[in-house]
Amino acid sequence: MIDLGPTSQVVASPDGLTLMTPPETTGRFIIVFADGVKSPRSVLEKAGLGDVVSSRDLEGQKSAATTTDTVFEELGMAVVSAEPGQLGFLEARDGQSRVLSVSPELVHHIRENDYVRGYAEGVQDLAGRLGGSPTAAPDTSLGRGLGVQFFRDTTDFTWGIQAVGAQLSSFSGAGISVAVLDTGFDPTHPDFAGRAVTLQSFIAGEGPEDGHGHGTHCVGTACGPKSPGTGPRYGVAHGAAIFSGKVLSNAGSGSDGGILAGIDWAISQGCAVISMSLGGDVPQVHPPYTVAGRRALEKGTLIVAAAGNNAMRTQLNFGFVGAPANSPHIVACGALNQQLDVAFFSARTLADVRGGQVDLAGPGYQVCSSWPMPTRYRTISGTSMATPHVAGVAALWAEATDNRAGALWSTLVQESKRLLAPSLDVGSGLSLAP
Amino acid sequence: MVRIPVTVSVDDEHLDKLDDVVRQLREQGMTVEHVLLSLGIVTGSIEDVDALLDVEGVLRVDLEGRKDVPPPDQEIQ
Repeated sequence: MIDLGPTSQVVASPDGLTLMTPPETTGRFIIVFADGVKSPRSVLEKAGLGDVVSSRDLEGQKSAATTTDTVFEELGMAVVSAEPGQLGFLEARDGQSRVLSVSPELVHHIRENDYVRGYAEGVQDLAGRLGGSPTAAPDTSLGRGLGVQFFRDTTDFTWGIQAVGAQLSSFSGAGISVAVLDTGFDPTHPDFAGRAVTLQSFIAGEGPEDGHGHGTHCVGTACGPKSPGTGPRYGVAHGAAIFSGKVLSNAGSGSDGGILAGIDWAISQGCAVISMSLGGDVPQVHPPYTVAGRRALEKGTLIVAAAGNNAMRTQLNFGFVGAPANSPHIVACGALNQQLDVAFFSARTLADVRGGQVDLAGPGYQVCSSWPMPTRYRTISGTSMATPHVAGVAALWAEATDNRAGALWSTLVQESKRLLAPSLDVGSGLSLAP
Repeated sequence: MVRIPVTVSVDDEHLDKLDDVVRQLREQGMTVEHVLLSLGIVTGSIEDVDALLDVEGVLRVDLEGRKDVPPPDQEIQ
């Protein structure tokens, strides 16, 4: 628990031996008290460190904490001068730990020349990529530590499940309801026997069953079983309750009226997450989705939607995020391939439009998932496939944190893996499971 | 005349008077398809879209759009 500070070390790396010098310390220590400790001062007094000032008495002399031992009342922390021997008295007593940690007070400096250094490294990296061998990883500090990741389907897990880390998660989306608004779902699919599945159609003249396939595939990715009868696991939130709203016809077409009705239904059913792998290639925000997204958040429901497949990056066409993903209160999901590069069709942020940014990214290339019987499984690509990965991960986080709506959105962004790809294409990066 | 599909968004202040707003929308000639309680949105169709703009509680009236996914045999969905 007591950290006296790092010492100099010699570290071996592919670049050779490096002497790592520790950061500067002042000789004082930062003490973090456990939640619920009402009197940090009395804990310090018992250790012979009671000669401290309270932050509340420092009005008008805010800089005093840099020289005077101080208890920060709002933070539940203190900075004290102490001999290491004195710190031992802060250890747990009677099985009750009142102190969470003791660390050396570090000295921080403004970073000179970081901009120039970063620029030089970027140029070096680019030169390496253009002129170096195809298998060489960039040999600058930009690339070091990131490496080149490459996922592939195994007999146990699809590459997408591995990429988001779902197979390592102890969470399943248990207690969370996930709605997939799409072409419906095949309730006869054997992988979903015994699963809580609610079906509803919003297409006049068609039942809730999936006559297309797209919906069944998306439901599979978001909520497929932990152990499918055959083949690899392909679903993220295997414990979530599934709500399939058919808002697209068997021909794959839907109207705003039906989609909004589906959103309304999902909210009324208490769904924490709505997955919408649908959209139109219009470069404007469609205002009803702004209203719907905002009211959904107010009611505890987070909507994630596909960014769009209108890019052809091999021809330098980067596409744009269409409606409804380009809505400010809806999460837009881009697609990644097995190397965590942006998929060639994945739409880029719609510039200068509030809400038009890609927010997150998910596995969206060669994604294996369920398909209506008798086909049973199919491998397809699209931001439509990335979206239910993110929706499933959102369900896991909802279970893990009890967060909903805006707080859940924030959690997803914080807990995403930053990628080398630009934020215009992947937002904060690859969504990762808890 | 052609009935035009519309999406009517109700403003925050009238969310608890949705029934009133819907009644007035019908009086203006709207055929109401869905009243979405959680969203405060009413969908349907009308011949004269402008007639809805003056109804009290209406935040905005938008023309309905369509969203599609590719045919099932396509590799990119």
